[in-house]
Amino acid sequence: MAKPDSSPPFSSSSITPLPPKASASMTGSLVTPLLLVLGLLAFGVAALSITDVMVARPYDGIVLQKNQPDGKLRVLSTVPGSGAFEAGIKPGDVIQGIGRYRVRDARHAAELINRHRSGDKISYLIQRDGQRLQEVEIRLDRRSVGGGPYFYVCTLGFLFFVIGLFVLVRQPNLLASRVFFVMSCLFLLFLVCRLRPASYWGIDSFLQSIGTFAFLLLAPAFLHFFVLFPRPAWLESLEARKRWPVVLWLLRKGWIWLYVLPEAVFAVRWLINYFRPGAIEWVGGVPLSSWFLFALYLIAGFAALRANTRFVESQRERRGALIVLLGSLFGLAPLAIASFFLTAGEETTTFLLVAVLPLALVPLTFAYAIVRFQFLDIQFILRRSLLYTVTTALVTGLYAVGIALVNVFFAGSSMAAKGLWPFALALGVVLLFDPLRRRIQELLDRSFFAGRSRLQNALTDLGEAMTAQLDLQAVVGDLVDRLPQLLGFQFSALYALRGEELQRLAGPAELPKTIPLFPDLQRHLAKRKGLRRLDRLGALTFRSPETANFVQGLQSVGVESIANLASRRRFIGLALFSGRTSKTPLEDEELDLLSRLLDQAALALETALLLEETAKQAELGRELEIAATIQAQLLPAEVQVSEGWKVAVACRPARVVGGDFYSQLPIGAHCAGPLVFGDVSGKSVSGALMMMAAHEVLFSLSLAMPELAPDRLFELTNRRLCALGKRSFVALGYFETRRDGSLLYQIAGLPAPLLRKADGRVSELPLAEHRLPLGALPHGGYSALEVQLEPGDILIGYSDGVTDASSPSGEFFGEERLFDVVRAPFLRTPDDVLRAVLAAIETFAAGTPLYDDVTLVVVGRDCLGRDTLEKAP
Amino acid sequence: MKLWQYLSLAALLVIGILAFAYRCTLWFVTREEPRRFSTVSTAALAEFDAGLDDFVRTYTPDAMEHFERAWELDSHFVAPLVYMTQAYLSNDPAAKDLVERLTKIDPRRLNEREKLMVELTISRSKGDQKAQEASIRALAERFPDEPLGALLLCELDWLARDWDRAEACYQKMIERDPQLLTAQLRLGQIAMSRDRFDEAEARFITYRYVAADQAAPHATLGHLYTLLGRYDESAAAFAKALAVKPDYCDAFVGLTRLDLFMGELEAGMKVLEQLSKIPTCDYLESWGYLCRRRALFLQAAGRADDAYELVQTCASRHPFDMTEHRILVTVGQLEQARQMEERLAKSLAESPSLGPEEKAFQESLQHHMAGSRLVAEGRVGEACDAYQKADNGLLLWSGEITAFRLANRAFWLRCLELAGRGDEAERLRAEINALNPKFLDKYDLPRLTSIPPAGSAPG
Repeated sequence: MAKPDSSPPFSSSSITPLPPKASASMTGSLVTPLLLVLGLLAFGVAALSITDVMVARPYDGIVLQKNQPDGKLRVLSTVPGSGAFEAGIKPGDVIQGIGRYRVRDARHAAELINRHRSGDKISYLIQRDGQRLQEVEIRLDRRSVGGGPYFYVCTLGFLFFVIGLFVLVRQPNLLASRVFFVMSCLFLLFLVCRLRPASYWGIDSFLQSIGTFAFLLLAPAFLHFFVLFPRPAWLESLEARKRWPVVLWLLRKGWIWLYVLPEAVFAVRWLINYFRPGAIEWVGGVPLSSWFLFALYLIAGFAALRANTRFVESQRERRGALIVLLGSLFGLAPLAIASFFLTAGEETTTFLLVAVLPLALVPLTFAYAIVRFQFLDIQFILRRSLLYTVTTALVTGLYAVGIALVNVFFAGSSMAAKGLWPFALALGVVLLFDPLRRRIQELLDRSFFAGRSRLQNALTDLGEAMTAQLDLQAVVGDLVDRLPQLLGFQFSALYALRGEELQRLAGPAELPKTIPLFPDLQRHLAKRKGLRRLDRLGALTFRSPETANFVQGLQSVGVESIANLASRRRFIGLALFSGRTSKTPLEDEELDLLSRLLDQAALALETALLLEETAKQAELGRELEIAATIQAQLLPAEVQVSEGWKVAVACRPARVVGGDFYSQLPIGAHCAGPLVFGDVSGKSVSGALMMMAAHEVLFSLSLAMPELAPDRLFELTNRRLCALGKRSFVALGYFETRRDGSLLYQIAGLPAPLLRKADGRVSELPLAEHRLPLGALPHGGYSALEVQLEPGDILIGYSDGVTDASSPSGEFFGEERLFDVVRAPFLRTPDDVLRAVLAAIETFAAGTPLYDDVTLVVVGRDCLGRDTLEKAP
Repeated sequence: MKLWQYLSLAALLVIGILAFAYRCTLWFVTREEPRRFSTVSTAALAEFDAGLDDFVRTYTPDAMEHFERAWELDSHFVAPLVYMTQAYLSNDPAAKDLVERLTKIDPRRLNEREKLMVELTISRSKGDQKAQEASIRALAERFPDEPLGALLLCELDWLARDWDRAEACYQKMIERDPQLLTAQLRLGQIAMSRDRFDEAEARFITYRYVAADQAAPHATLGHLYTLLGRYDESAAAFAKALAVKPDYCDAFVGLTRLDLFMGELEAGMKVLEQLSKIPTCDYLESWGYLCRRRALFLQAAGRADDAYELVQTCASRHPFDMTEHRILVTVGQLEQARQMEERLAKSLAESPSLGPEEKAFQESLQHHMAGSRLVAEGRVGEACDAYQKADNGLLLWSGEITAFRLANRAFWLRCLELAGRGDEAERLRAEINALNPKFLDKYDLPRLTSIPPAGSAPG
């Protein structure tokens, strides 16, 4: 195992300070929500305008001209088929009275109309050609003001808004995308509020004012965006050459003045007009000077875009910028010219054809440039989203036609007359809409996004392959080699949890071999699943300097994203990914795909790691079996006792290998050697090793010094075991049977042996004062005791594994039960006692694994003299 | 944040914004303005507003009903009483009764606006012109949104014949409340007096549009069309007025003038007969108006002697009546005519308190009478100068003045022709034709005067 690095993964001296944009992202994180709120306000105002225009009210069918300097209600057009249309109201007619009341303004007109109901015929006082007044009867219908042209401009406005929103959400920290979003909102307001058909209702003037405000701000936003789009190459060139410092200051820092100027000019002209009516010439609701300023900004914007086009090096960017330039030019110029030159009467048809229709070029060319040339680093997701939107709109249209046809087909039928009919129709639409849309979408995806589909399939295949893979190295290889190839990463790296740190399993050598665990980063990654971009961990790094250093270090070597690898059960490691060779960041959808793949990888890694561990454990098991065999061989196949004695012994290890043992020491040539039995602290392999050590020491001492007294034997063994320094103890028992019926016993750390008299009485044998287990203290002081047994008496020596045996409920076997078992009347021989105790333990444990090794050495007086017993089963 | 989260947030915010905008709009629409009157009864106030709406549109009877109900709902509510008094002449018993009710209301309960309104009403009932004018000015200045003050303020200028001020005042009123028909009518009359007939027509059409179920607006338009020679439209307008109110005297008067201008004398006589049978128009008979009008029609029919006899019997004979003077001249009673002129001159000299307009009118009348007599005496040159002076003094086109002014011009034209002043005659003819292209063709001047036809020598 490699030695872990003691130094931090990235020393502070090696960290490059964060670039200014990283700290600016903190401010940026506030700007984006603010912009979104502003966008929502714009959306809300636009929705209000559309609602006002589209809502059906008692309506005469008159569309008014806007921004009349004399405040008169001048007719722009009439809705075909409406009451006004049938009454012969003509464009240019001025409405002087409604319903026998003189009309003050549009709001008053709305109030007067609202006094009547649909179907009412009310008298209008109309002035035609500025001369004759005439009364006209006009029928009120229930209809809305808005029509096809307004729907068209609203679609354009919302198209622009959606594009702007996508750009902002995709690239929230990019200044150009923010300005683009502002411009989109202004476009939305301008189109929806400024080009709305003037209604009578009171909210009209408010919305028209908003539209005018948007119009005034649109030009600076346009200029601002074109200075930054596709890159502020021209500005950078000016900075490099240190030329035009005023322009530089204005375009870099003094933007607010460029935005304020049109409003200021408007305000001044408005005030002049207020105090000297007629002194200012108004065109299309704004002073002439505002138009000049608008044109000036527009020309400056186009010039800035042209200049940027010159300075950008990429042919691709130049082509994209040129398309945007042309689209904006041919889209906006007609609007500006038509608004300026067309008279009000021509607005309805000519204005729509000449000015509004080409306006579609603006959002379309922007969208094309963004999608085709990946401007603002926006990729296919936009294209797909747009296509999805179009698909949904098409399906909606299809359904609308379908519903209309069904309605026509069933019109007048009894089924259609039933109240449940609309619900049934709605249910049908709801049930069928999504499946149909999905089908169409799948077709479109296959047709338009084959590359994306291939990538998705490849990632799916990779995920499946990893899941099926059992080899850790193969999974690591998939993650570190194949995945970067698929997604175009420069490199990736994998770290796995090893103990308290993360160890690099694969990845470039520039990355540290080990990484300590960062709890805050860990928590953050665990909380937000999937891949996280390091540059989006700003708030996290701000809180923790260590993590900040670590993240900065990763960034400095090119790591762009990081992901937790964790299964449900445990944390496995970290995956690091560099930037892409294409220099474009991952889209959210790609991140989602990758996140799912990483989840699969985590599972595969866990499986592989588990398998690896299982294999290791299997190996260990085999080794333990060998050890158990060796240990079993250490125990004597048979033990002998002096004449007139019987003996029964058993040793049951709690694991494969145990820490208990018994043996017969090779002392005395003519009599049976003393029996020793022990219990080593620690189980399994370590216990077994200690047991073997104790066994060998006892044996070697016995062989070397056959006349050694038991107390001396224990003391020497104790010293030897202490010298091993393993802080492990050995509880030891010593039984030496004699022909005269006496028994010398010595107990160190084991429970006191039980004496069962021939009449069944059971008692514990007294123990010496000093009976610490061997190996506990360097100096012993052990002493042996002697007991005289009568024929039929039985002595039971045992390890604490007997009394510590537990039932399934956790209750210990205990000494009382042992006493009860041993006290049983039918027990005659040591073998009976041994079997009875083992059977009682087995019954009591009811299958519960033994907590500790169980060792029993049972000897008893027998009149028949020398006896030999086999080991108990 | 995911896109769907953004969009959900956006949807929530939009709903919130819409709700907020709706609430703001609701607040804006239903916000309460400062209380105009001290009454706490919303029902009384609603009745009053409905009455005011009718009042400014000259639906006086309807307005009176609403005002009466408003006062019944809150007997301390003075505004309805104030407006009701305006419907009566100041010395009318009904007005006095209303003022008495006003004085019983505890002034401590009134706000400043109401106090000024009450002061105005009381000073009017007392006939205290100065106090009334001061109250009007105070009310109009302090509460320009109160139609009563504004209207009466403009009426001060109108009565003083200060056209510029009056026009500006009414214009201002109408901008504030386009339904204020009195202002609309006055502006039309001012426009007529300044030869802005298109504007006048627009004003009167607007007047008629707002109060289409009243007879007066139709008749007003009828008078205008008569002056302008649009006789068919005029007849239709008078017919409409009579359809709305069959006993509307002014429409009958207008029809008789129309018939005179058109030379439809028999029809005119029939109209006079109808008019004499309408009880509500009795006052015309008692004033001698119908009698003199019959005499005029007899004269126009060439029956000057019958006309002379009839006019001697007319009730309320005026010391200097133009019709009678013209008949005297036609029948050759020049001395009597001269005596009538002298009575007029004496009256002018003895009435220094006459207003400028009234004085100018009477001076014009004097010149016209002199002109007619001088022609009969063969002093054509002097007669033409007298007619010119009479025309210079006539500034209005309204009611009887319209007919007088046009007739004077016709006489003046014939006089110029007799005097051989062809250029002047042509200019005047063009001027008359520009105003009423049918007038000279239809107005049978020889039968109305002693002036011989053009080209013949004076007899």
